[in-house]
Amino acid sequence: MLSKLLRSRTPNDIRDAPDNSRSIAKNRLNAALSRDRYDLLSPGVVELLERDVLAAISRHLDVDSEFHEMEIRRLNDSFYLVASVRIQAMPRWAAAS
Amino acid sequence: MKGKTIVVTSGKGGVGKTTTTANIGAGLALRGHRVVVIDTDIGLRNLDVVMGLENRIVYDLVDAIEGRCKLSQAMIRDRQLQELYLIPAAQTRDKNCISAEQLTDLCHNLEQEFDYLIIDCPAGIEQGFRNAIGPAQEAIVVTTPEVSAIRDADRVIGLLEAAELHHPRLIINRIRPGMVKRGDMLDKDDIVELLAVDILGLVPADDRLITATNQGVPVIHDKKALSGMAFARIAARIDGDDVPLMDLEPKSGLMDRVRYLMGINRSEYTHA
Repeated sequence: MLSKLLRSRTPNDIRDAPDNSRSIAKNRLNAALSRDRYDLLSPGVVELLERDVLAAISRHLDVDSEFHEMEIRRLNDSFYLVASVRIQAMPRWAAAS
Repeated sequence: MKGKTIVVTSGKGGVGKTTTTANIGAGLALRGHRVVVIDTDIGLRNLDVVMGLENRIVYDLVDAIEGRCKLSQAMIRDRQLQELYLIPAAQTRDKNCISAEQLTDLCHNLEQEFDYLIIDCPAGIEQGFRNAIGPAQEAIVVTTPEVSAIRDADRVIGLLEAAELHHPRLIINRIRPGMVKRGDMLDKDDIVELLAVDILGLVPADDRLITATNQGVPVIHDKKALSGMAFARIAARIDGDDVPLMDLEPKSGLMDRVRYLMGINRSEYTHA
């Protein structure tokens, strides 16, 4: 009876339960820190990111260096990198069969 | 000789910056280094009372900066440690009466004679914070396992990085191992994951720290205090020693589990 009680929940189960106050604190903090960091995002960082991402894409695609947009956007509690890049000419490998 | 200047900061007040500064200073002095601790919390000085030196103040940091005394006259020797000095903050002025450049110049002079300068930073992210981080080559961020302290730590880490104080190291203060085990307190891995920084040390919540501070003695001098042992390890790591983190897991023998299930919270620790 006692041993059954002792085996019922291991310390790790208790510590990692999704409904305990530690898990709640962690989830709340994760969201709050993301929001804070998003609010403090500097335009310079986004510009740097845009330049690097565009350079990476250019290794695979012939892109229009004039027509592109990039931003980090928040939707509810998620964050998205939204990019729009015009392809100058579609490469042959992209054609289906 | 060229000493190293380290700022102890946190963003949030009341997480243990001043206690940490006093104990790191004492810890490095116990290891044979020449150390100065500097209170930059102008208007709200406290490092002097924490170290038990409040009755010895004649001149302060602002007096030294404004030339009313020699730098050496603003330095108070510790009661126990011959090679540990305090430069107290001014109590009747405010944070805007000195600049980061002035404090940096003062620290450059001290770095010629001392191995370590430890700067106790005021709470907040305004002028006092800017002054305190100005002279530093390294930064230590103190937090507790609470949502408010961790959030402020994240903000401060961002500001330190922006000021090119890269790779600040984190001290998590007032950990309660029993609560961590019960799933009622964030543990060190949670905090490291959230803040993405390196850990410098873990300090357990400890009644002995309160009684030591009541007497104006840094708890590192109390050989029985777990928090004192934790600070000794932190000082060793700052000094370049590779010491493992303190194991703050509560003992988990059969009787402890029975006690736990019965709801009796015993804060016993094991440590290497």
